[in-house]
Amino acid sequence: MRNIWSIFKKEIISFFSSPIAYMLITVYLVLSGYFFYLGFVRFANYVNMVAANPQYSQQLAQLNLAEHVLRPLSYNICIVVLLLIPMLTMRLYSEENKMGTMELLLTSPLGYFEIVFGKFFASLFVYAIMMLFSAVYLFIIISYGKIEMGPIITSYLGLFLIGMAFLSIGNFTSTLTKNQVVAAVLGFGILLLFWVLGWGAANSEGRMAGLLSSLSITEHFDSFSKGVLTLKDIIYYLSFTFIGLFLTKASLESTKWRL
Amino acid sequence: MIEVCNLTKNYGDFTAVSNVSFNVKDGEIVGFLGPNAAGKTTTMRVITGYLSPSAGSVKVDGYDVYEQGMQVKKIIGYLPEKPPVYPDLSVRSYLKFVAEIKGVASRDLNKSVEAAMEKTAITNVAHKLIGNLSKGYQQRVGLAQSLVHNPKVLILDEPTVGLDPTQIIEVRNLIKGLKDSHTVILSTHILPEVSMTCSRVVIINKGNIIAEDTPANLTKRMATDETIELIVSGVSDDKKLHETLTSIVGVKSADIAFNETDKTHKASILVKSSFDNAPEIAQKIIAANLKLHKMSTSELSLEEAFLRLVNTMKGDEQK
Repeated sequence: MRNIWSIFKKEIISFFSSPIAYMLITVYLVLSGYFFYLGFVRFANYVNMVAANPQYSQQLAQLNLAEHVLRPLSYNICIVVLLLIPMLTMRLYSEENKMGTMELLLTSPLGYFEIVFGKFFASLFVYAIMMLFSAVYLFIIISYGKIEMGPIITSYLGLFLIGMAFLSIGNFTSTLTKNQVVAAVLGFGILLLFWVLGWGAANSEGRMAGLLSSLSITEHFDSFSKGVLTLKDIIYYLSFTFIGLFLTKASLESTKWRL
Repeated sequence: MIEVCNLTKNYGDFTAVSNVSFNVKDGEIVGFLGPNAAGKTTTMRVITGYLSPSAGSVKVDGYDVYEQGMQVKKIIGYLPEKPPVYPDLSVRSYLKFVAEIKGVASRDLNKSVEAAMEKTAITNVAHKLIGNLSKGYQQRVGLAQSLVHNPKVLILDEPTVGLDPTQIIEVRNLIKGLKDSHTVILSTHILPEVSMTCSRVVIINKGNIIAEDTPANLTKRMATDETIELIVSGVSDDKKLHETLTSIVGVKSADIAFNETDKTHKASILVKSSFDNAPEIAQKIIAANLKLHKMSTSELSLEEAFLRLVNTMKGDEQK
């Protein structure tokens, strides 16, 4: 536990003493802020338009913030995060490989999982800060409109879980190389592949279609954004994360044998 | 303290270390001497548990490095060739981090960090970022890192590289001061370094141990070696030339190489004293009806001396 904490602290210092964390948080906030603005304004205009026409009064009753603002917003945030997370994780191991500090870590009495978790939690911490800042949008929604809390909480949980899954892959690809860019590109490639995997389901039949859509990383996000918690989706993201971290550990372990 | 037994390490087809065995006793300082790519770093990496051996075993303080890696890692301090420092941490927070992951108890943390900084004379830069320090200081931070948990065994890969002459002397004194309380293996390709700091020297070349000796014996052997180089033509029989040269009293060995382009033979002769032996060698060459193009004497540079030693010792073993 203490070792995980030591690694975690060290990584946090590294994140915030370089421009990386600040850059990522800024870019994230600018992009997600813009998406929020677009969604919110579009919704407001639509409401005004519908309200002006009495014959649409039935539709007016169906409009709600959770469905028409929050849901697209959380999808858009997912895409932003998909782009940013490989850049958040890229230096975690590749930099150690390059600087030779991996030799220090691997010759210290540390368990492989202690290194893996220390680094993973540090990247998760930065990601959580990003998410926390975007809570500003929620305050705006809550103070100017009526919204159910259910979808807000599940959307956040969904974003947190999908972020964990992304981070675990980013961590893994960073162990494979000394080059940060290689780590980021590889991580992004793998994540994007899982992202678009579900698209293939439309062209396939039967079992294959089922398999593709159930492996797809976006397919499982749907329920969270609707405000529904399904065990299957939670388990999907958790096991995705676990597999990512397990691969990270295996890759670390294999440094003993390669070179 | 350290028992290396028939250690072999292959990287694919390349054998970096082959069948190496040696022991290091408690409190000894052993120098690992060899040219670059001799297998020093690989051997050290296996001892520290960073790499797995392809064959053979290494035991440190009775623990097998491969089977009981955790126990071994706790008692080893290791300075790799490139100091393993984080440029964006300050010296103090870096050393604290290392002390933590090496398992120093929380209440002793500050004390051991300060002690390590004092030993390596870096207290004055404690608050600076490592990235802003000079190479020499970074090397000393690396050394402090290896000492911070007061390990029983220290493995130092070229600890004086990148230091200026005064710092080199300081580091050597520091290492000498570790004798008896610590067991030290240090690698170097600088001969005087071993003679000054080590109680025993292991010479390694191309992955094989060539000799183990005390530095005193080693320097004695080196000091008397000089070379005479000849370029001759008209040689019909290499072996005969070799015999002629080695029959001279005082000649230790002779290497003869044929140069295709100008059809000459180049002989490098290792002698006790070039002043005493040169005239007789010249006479023998003339008497054998060979054309003498060039004859030069040179005192061995340390590197050459080392290579000579490597070669002669190989010869001894074959006999």
